[in-house]
Amino acid sequence: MRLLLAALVMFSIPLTVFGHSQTPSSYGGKDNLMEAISVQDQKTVMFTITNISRNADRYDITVDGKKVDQTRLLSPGSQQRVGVVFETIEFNKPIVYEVCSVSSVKGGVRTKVCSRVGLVRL
Amino acid sequence: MRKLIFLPLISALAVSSFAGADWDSNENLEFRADIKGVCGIDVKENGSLSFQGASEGKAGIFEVRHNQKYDATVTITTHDVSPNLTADKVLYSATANGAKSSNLSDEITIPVERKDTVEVHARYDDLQDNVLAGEAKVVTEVTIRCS
Repeated sequence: MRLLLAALVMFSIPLTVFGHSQTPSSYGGKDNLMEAISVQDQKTVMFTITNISRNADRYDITVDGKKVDQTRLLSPGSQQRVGVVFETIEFNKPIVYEVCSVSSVKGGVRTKVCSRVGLVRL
Repeated sequence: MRKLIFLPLISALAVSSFAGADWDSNENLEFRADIKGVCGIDVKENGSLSFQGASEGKAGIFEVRHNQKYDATVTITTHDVSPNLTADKVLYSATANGAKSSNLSDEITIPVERKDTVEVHARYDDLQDNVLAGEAKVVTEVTIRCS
């Protein structure tokens, strides 16, 4: 029984390698004011999600923990560009968001890759 | 007469324009690319959960993928458990490139460098006999932040 239980509590992943990546790893902020500046009420930032798994997967896109989009089913090695829209209404007030791509649960693990986005309306 | 005045002036301007163009025959041909920051996780091996009083289970192993000059952080936490387990009893420890970087905790955050290999151990803070029979499952969330 113990052996069965031990076998069932594999806390991670199948034997195949999986994972994903996201670019850019940061956008705007103090280090890149040209990117950070928004001159309209909205600004769209493009992110590229790449599936580095051996299996197909789709990824939720979240902004500050709230799901805003989802990629299509990405085959191994393929990628998708996703536009994330941010509201930049208040003038001269820098806002920092966290944009994450979240994998589905594979075996017992899900991977989450996060980028910081810093914007300011001028 | 006007032509005589303007002709040397236009010639002088033309010569200076050509000089400004820097038509040096030794100029290198350049190829440029804007490399964006990439951030990712590459899970290499699965692990197993160990219980109180038992020896350490098999480590889960993943590799950090990023191309930034500065370090990133990885957070390991429990996303979900089966009904016969309690999430806050699932404790993790992590080792990055051989250096153990944290104690057992239900949520750990460790700094990681480019291409670091991270080993994660998961331990359930109770005796195995106290867990109800059936499928015991832990869903672990591995988060990387590169900015």
